[in-house]
Amino acid sequence: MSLSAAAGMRVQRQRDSALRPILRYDPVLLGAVLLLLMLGVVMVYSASAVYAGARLGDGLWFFKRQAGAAAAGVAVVLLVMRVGYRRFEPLAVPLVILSLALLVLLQFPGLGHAAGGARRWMKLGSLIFQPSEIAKISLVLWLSRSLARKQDRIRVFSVGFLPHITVLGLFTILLLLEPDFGTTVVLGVLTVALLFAAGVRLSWLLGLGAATAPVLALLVWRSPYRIQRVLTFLDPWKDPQGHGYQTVESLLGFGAGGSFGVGLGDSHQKLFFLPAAHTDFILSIIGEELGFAGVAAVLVLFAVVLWRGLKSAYAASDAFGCWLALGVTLLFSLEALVNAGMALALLPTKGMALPFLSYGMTSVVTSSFAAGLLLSVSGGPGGFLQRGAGARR
Amino acid sequence: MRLRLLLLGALLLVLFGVVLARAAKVQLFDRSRLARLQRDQTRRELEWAPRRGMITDRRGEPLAVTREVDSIFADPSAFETIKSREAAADALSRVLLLPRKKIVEKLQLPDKRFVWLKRRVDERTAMRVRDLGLDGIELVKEPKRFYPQHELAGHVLGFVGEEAGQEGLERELEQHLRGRALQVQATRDARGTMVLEHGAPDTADLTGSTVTLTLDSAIQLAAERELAKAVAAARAVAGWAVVLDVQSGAVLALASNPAFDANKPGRDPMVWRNRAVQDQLEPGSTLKSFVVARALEEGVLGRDELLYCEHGVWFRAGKKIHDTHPVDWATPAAVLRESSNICAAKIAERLGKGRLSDGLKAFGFGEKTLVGLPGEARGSLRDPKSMPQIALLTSGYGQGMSATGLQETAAMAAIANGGVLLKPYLVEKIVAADGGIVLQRGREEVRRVLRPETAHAIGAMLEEVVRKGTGTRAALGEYRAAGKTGTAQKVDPIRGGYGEKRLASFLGYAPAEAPRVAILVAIDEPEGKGADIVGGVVAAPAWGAIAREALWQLGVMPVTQERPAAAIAGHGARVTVAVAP
Repeated sequence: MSLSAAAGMRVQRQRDSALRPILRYDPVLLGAVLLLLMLGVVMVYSASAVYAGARLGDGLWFFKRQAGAAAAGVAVVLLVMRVGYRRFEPLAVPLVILSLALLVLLQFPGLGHAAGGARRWMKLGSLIFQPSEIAKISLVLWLSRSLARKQDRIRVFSVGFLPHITVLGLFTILLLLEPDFGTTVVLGVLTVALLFAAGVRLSWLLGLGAATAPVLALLVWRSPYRIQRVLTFLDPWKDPQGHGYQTVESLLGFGAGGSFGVGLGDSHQKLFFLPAAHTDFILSIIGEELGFAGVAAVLVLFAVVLWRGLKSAYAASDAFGCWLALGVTLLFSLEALVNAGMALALLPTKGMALPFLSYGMTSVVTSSFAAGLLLSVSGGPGGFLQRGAGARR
Repeated sequence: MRLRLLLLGALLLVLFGVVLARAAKVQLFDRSRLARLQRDQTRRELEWAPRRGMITDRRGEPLAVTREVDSIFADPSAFETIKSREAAADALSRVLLLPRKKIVEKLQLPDKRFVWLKRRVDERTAMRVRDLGLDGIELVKEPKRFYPQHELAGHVLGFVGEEAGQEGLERELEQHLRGRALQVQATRDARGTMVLEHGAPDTADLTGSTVTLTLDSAIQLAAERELAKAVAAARAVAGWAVVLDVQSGAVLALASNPAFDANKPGRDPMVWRNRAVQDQLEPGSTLKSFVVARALEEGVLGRDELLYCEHGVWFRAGKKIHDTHPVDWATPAAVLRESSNICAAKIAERLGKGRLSDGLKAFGFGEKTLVGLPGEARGSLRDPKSMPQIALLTSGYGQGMSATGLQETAAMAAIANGGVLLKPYLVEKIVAADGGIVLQRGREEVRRVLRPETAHAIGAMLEEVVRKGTGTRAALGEYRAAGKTGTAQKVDPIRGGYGEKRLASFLGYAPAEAPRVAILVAIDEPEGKGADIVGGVVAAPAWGAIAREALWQLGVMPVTQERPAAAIAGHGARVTVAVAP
């Protein structure tokens, strides 16, 4: 073997090892996430340019920030993949404590930053972020860790059910104080779904549902704006200029878009008709500019994330990875469903970002972090579920 | 666990399916309804106001122009509290000089987003409103008509009301001047801002045609000035003057007094009346020229024939006809020179009802000149079949029939140019905004009225009137002039019959040897009695001044090289400035 041939082989091997970390992970999932991130930047620009130009004097204001967040998001994805999800397991408890603390701090005037009647943002110097976004991923991390550790005794009420529901309860109380009903519902459903998947007794979960239903009803009943939202949801056309305004304008956007849309950048709804066009209602702008084709593409991309996310859960070699993949997948799917359902008037309006697409630096970065974890799991050789299934039965 | 995971996955996938189905329903099935609703809220048809075309005199001097000025409107919904309304009304009433109560009323109109406060204000007012910086008080540009020469030719131009031209040429040429309103597709945002997707329309598409008149600003100005002087000097109620180009029929000046400024037309329609065109009055002795001309033309009167003028009083057809200066024997020239009513009546009698009527009709009497102004009068001639004998006689000296000033001047122009009646016209050219010529006019012959020899013969007699007859005060000095005085009795509209009131006029042309302009000056109801208020005294001096200015402006060389000092002084600096290009 000549020297040069040996060197050539070494280079080849080096290239393989350089590529492997990425190629090992699910390229379809990665592609779907990157596509969503890129579409988000484009659509945030389209939806916000007029608004930003008029309000902030800089049409690129939101675009620059979203592009920066997306770039940071890609870096975070790659970094987390590189580092591997296992390294984040020890962070689960501190992160939960941190997010609970942030949610508590949010209630203090001066720290919390209110917008639209809700205290959801925290200002640290020039940095503004949403603690509830951090809370979501923290809870997912902690639940995965806890479920993995308590796997064997998951069917014991005080071990498999009560601690998780207690932590969820803490989050729920703090989130409802903001108030952030949407995130509360998403986290509740997510926790229940994870517990269900992890093997918690169905009767407990059903009991929990039976117990919380009246509480939820009471919460809605006691708060005039929630009643209004429910009523509006039932018939948004009753008051299209008042309470039903946002829903109606969102539907008008979807309708105007038709099959293939009015064309990128040509939305009329973003001309101050549709409030929150670049944040919670970005899907309506996509529907208007890119039509049903665009909406379907977004939904399909999220369905791909769901499919490949579940596949990652199957690919996990350990319990933590499996629950983490499932939790992140559930988080993305639930957020997407709630957001799209709201924009299409299937659900009452509530503040809920569309992951990767809506404007919001915290949302984009934490979603990317979650995606990184999911991708990191997808690189596993598999085994936990198969082994676990076999071992447990 | 695998089963539960699969179940979760399947459930979520179904939910995605539900959302997708919902999107399909909204975007594919409800599409037309939603899209229509959306269009209703964003699409707007904006009407782009037309821009009125310009009116200029024959040299291109602007007489009527359109400028963009500010109009002020309010958005009452911006004023929620009584206090804010009152504060705004206080400030605005001071600036706009409107009653405070009225402004408050407008500001509290419910459910309104738009109400005019004051339209087309001047620049200073607009600036002061802008300086107030009131929310909900906005300014918008609107076209406004301006008449840069103010009173000049006001009666010819007329003016524009809220919607369209109301008087004069502004009304007559509305369709050419108006321009075109354009519907423009606009997109409206939720804050009410309009965006024009295809840009603003080309102003050429909006702008009306430019109308070039035959009027000469300098001659018009001189006519108005001299007329005003004459009316004031005679303490008359009104006056009018017409200057025609005898070779083309172009109206060089058409003036009425009292004048009015079309920028501030006021409310009195009588002031807007273009009396030289709209009023038909008994012309008086000026008509003798045409009667004598027709008699010569028809061969019923010899050029040097002597007529007996009855020494001042003639009883005929049951009436008494008077001459102010008793004349015994007179040639036709002397009849005109001395303005004998009796001999004029005799000449009319010789012509007879049919030939007199036909002859005057040939001169254009009794029919509209169609000069292109609204409300033109026709004048009246008796039908020869039903004409009483006395009417035939009085027609000989211009009573018992009526004519407009313009008709008389056009008829005089026919004598001046050798016997051809020309159609008088005011509009020389209409050019569309894109440069296309819509209309162009020039000399237009109606008919030959006299043979050239007859015309020259009458011309010589009329020159004699100025030289040594009743019209000596119309003499120009450096030019030879020809003309005829007239002092018509006016019918008293209340008592019936002729009263004390007179219409004093002078009708003629110059220069006599190579005529260029025919001019009429008429002074209505001069104050005074007898010889003080005859045309030769009241109207002839103004006629002379106008004729001199007109010939000077037309560049006609004087026969005598020197101009009298008084005539030079008559060329005020104002004239020169007014016509400076």
